[in-house]
Amino acid sequence: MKPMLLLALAVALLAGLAPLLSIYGQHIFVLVALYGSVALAWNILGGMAGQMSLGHALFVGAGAYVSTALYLKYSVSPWIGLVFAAAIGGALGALMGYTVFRRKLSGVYFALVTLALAEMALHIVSNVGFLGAANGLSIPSKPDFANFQFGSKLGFCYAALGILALVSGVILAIDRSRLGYVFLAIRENERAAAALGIDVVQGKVIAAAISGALAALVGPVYANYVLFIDPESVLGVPLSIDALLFSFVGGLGSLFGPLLGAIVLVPLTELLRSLLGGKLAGVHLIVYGVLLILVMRFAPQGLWGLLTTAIARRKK
Amino acid sequence: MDLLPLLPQALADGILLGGVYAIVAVGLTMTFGVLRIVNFAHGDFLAVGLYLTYLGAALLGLDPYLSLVLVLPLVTLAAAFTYKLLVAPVIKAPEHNQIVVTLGLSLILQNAMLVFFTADLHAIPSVLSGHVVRFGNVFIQAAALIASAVSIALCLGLYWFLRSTEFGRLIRASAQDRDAALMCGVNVDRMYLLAFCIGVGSLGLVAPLIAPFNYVSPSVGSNFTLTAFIVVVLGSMGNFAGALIGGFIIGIVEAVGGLLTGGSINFIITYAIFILFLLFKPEGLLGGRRA
Repeated sequence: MKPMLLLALAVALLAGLAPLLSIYGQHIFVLVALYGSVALAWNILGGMAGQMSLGHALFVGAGAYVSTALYLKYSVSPWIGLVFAAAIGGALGALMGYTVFRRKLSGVYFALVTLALAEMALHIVSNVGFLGAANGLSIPSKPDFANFQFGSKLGFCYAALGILALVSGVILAIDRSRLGYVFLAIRENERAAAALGIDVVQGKVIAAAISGALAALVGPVYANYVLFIDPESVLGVPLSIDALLFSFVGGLGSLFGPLLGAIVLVPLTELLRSLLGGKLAGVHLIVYGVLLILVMRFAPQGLWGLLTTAIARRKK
Repeated sequence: MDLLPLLPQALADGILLGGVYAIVAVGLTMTFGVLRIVNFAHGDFLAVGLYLTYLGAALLGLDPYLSLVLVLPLVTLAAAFTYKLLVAPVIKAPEHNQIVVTLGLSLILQNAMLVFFTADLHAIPSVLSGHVVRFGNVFIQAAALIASAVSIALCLGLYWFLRSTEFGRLIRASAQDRDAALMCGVNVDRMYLLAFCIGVGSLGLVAPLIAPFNYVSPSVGSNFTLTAFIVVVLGSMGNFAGALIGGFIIGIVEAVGGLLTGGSINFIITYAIFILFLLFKPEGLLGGRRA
């Protein structure tokens, strides 16, 4: 139970840190926790089970739209919306996984299917009036705990931290269970895994379902933090790329590398934005592209790998 | 509203569009068929070509058709650099890493264009911009006709090149079995370079041709990349004839779908076809055969 204890300690530490931050610091805190959660969720399927998705925005968007539509149209509290979001995300993940993996599609084919599914969802939502079509949905500001709107940024810090803790806890639990070894076996050698009697399709479907459900949890928190969602922001390709990017830069093979990626890259993005003051909109993405290529070329294990080898060297 | 009289027009538009899709997809399928690299930045090179054409028009006052002599070599050169710098080092790396490298390149190219040229749409006028050819009730832009005709000719020309020339044979040998080709004395690395330059460089030829009837924006490339992927999967990865047929199918589906539904719903049809194909016939229309 040692890793779980460490996780609890880290969460407590972060929860204690949040009130000490400035308003801007808290904003970054929320963003890092949310992006970190999406990247960690992506990594369950992409890193742990080795199936690279280019469409994780589908889950985040589904979660955001489900909870926001329930709240706006049927006055269902986003707290309950969170449960619906996870259910929808898990169901979408399982369905996507089942249809794709049963056909033995993997590698680039899987990446393309996920990309196309997310794009299709974006175009569908853009045409559905009930969901605000291309204009998106605005949530009226009514700060109340029941509305999942907190008076201060600190409330959102705790909400985002809660999601991050949950995702991290699930990852630790997977890693320590038989499922973790199933994922590992599938990632390293599918045929050998199948020969050992592992149901490869089932393993991948489970990975997709868990990954989808956890990514979808981020949607409602994001929606209520920003109070506005539209197809481009929660279903667009950039979000899917972000999830993949943080994971690769942070370290694909590791459990918490993706979070490290978010911890480094999200503040970097905000820094670049504030330095350039709205001009040169794409600069941070150019930096991302360069980082991605550099990491692939010189440190395929990502920042996490660099960090652990550096620590190991110090110990010698 | 009775849509039937408009159908021939939509079909004609679709066929013209399909020719352009076909050549873009042929370039993608060539890099995949030979190098086994999935290039997510493919369409962005088309956008680079379009912006070079735009620069030629804005700075030098060149007609798109004249700037061809600049754009084609520049895009081909960019392809050569890309191969040497980015693609060659990951040619034996796992598929994930290759995808990530080309995705990174796509991010860089798209956003560099965004930074330099902003998100504004640009039109590039040409002497042929206003010319329309009429066949009965069907009106066709002369520039679109030229672009489509050249694209189809280029597809066939590339096919002939691969089938019937010595270089083509060497490229095919490298594609079929890298090690065997190496042992027979084929300079595989150079053949890969050549294939990549042809596959991506052909976009340098296409860009000035489609410039007179297309808007230029930084995101135009990613649209073409996705469409090219759809076409390539439809027509079987690595298959030339398949890319040609797939190009026409998607072109016609988009044009006729746009007529029937209007708006962005026809994207949904294209994606649906793509996903159904990936799920139920991932080997594509023409099976596993490779040109």
